[in-house]
Amino acid sequence: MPSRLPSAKEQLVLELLAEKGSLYGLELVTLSGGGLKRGTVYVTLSRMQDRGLVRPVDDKAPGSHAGLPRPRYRITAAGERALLAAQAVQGLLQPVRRGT
Amino acid sequence: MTYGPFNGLLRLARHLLEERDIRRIIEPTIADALHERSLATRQWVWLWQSRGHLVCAILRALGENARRKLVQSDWEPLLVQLLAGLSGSIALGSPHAILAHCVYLVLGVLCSLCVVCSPTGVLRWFYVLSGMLAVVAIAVCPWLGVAIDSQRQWLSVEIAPSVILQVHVSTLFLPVYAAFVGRSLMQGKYMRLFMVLSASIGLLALQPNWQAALVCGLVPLVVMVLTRVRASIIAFSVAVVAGGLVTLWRTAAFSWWTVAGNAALLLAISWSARSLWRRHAQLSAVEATVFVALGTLTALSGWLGDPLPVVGFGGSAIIACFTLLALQLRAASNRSDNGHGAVP
Repeated sequence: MPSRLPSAKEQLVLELLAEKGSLYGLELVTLSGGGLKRGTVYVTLSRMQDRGLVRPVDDKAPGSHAGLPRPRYRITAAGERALLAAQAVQGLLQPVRRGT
Repeated sequence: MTYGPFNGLLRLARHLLEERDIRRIIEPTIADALHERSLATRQWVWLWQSRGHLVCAILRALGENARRKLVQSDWEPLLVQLLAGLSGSIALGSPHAILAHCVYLVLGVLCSLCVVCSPTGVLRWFYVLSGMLAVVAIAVCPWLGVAIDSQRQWLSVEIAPSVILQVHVSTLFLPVYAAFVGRSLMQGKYMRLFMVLSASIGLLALQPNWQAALVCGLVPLVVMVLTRVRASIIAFSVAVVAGGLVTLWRTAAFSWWTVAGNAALLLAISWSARSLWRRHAQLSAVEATVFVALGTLTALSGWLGDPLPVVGFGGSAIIACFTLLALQLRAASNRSDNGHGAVP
């Protein structure tokens, strides 16, 4: 179980993956609407992979992209729990942020 | 395999980043760029944009790597060494010396941080180059240098390679060994032989006092032999300090504080090496032991050439001590990453 809540970027990735199933890094960038950048998306995904929030599938697609790995990412059970926790905390903090 | 316009950046990334970062971050970024190639209307725009994304990915991966290493490192030994250094600076007496000592301590801490955060490839090249430089300098100095105050120096300039190299010869050579041991390119036994021979010959050539040179040359040899058979470094440290006490206590330079300080440091380093770190890191600890032992012996005997590390005023010695400790921290954090002895 991850020891801390996901950051804003990580939460965005988790939300997209929870909604769409599995996605390429490039698709995550496109769907994020500017929330994720091309140069940093894989750094974020690698960190999330270390924490067990996402896992790569189709690690290598032979014959395409000069044999380079272009994995799709899928949310893990731990990732789903982390997303629920983050959303719950956000829900609790929302009235405080609005100043009510 | 060719990656077209990204070959150069990929080669650079392989030098700077870990293999897992290449696999997870750089290669997918290139794959994305190649995927987009067919969709791009203007090829040159695609090319420069993709290169920009790749550079950005490399920089971010470097930053992430440094952050990970800083978080994973155990900073307790560094704190202990800093405290030891501060206690040594108080013993120096004069305000000017204390200030200079503190400046060197700060520089040492900064060097430690750099070493802990540096990419492995950069670190490896740094040690290969500095090791080669040390060999060349040692080999050439006796012929080209001039003798000033019984020290061989470079053509009367203020830099005294005899002083610097005597102190740092083990600092430079053992990390090279540590970085390359286990690699098929350079077998450990050849490297060990190379180090011992060059250190002994260099020291013999440079030292004005042949007895001192002999001791300086033999100490690394003995430590390496002992480590080879996994003998206790603690026993060795105690033997060095005890030997120093027995043989040198009648000399004018004798100081109980110096002996006690160095003995404590040796024991702390040795204990850490035995309990926490193995293989490569243990070698770094051996290097620290040699370093401190040489300092103790030479300072107590009044031989010229070696400032006393941490306790002494020698700035380069302090910086070398901290750099060395950072190597140990690197090896320890790599070990927790990989589950075995690690290349620092």
